[in-house]
Amino acid sequence: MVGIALVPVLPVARAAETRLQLPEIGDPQDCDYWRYCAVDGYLCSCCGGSESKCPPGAEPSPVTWIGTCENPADGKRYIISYNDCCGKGECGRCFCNRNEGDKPTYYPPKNNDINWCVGTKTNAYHCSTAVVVGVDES
Amino acid sequence: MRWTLLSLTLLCAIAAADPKSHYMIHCMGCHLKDGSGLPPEVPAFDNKLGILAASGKGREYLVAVPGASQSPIDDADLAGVLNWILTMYADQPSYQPFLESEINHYRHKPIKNPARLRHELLGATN
Repeated sequence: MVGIALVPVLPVARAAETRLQLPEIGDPQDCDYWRYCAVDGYLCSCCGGSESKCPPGAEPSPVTWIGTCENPADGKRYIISYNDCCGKGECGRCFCNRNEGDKPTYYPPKNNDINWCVGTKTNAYHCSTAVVVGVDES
Repeated sequence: MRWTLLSLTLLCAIAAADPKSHYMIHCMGCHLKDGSGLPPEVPAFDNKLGILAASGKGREYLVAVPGASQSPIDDADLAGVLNWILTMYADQPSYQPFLESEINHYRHKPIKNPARLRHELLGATN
């Protein structure tokens, strides 16, 4: 999995999520969990963190790639911020590679193969989160 | 008042496209939820937006800069999200709203060096 990079979490994004009362179905440690429809990386929920928080000692990247996923519990599409957790070596557990809405590398803002550890102390990639930041009304 | 009403009409006309969702999906990943960005690589959305929106060259820059011109939304939606950004983050709301026709006019004129052009447009305020 060297060379893949992957997915991102904002403190503000986490705060926003707490205000959304989401109906939930599924296991956040399972790659099939609905929020992971565009994730490419190790799931932080298997690495000592959660689907929306980095593990202890890992730094959330402020810069991230954003996708949308349908929540099967209510049929709505939600905006997901795939923040990477950075500053530690690769977690190595629960690798998950789903690419809904992913575009080729020549279109970096919408590509999940690049390392999104940008703006952090180091660009070492550890794992990926999937933070719900809003309802897609577009 | 007339201009304000016109602005409101234009903004309401594009409201159905939900520019906030477009901002979150296509802009927020790098410019962040509060528009603070990651300067200098990702410029902050602040009062400099008003300066840029007040000149023809500045408006061309705002539309043609890669993050805007290459976003996978049509001209009307790009106009909507740019106007939403100006309303949210510029300190003076008296700018002229972007129209779909203006987006179409500027969108296909690539900027060879966006950072240099931004510096030229903003000078010492950059």
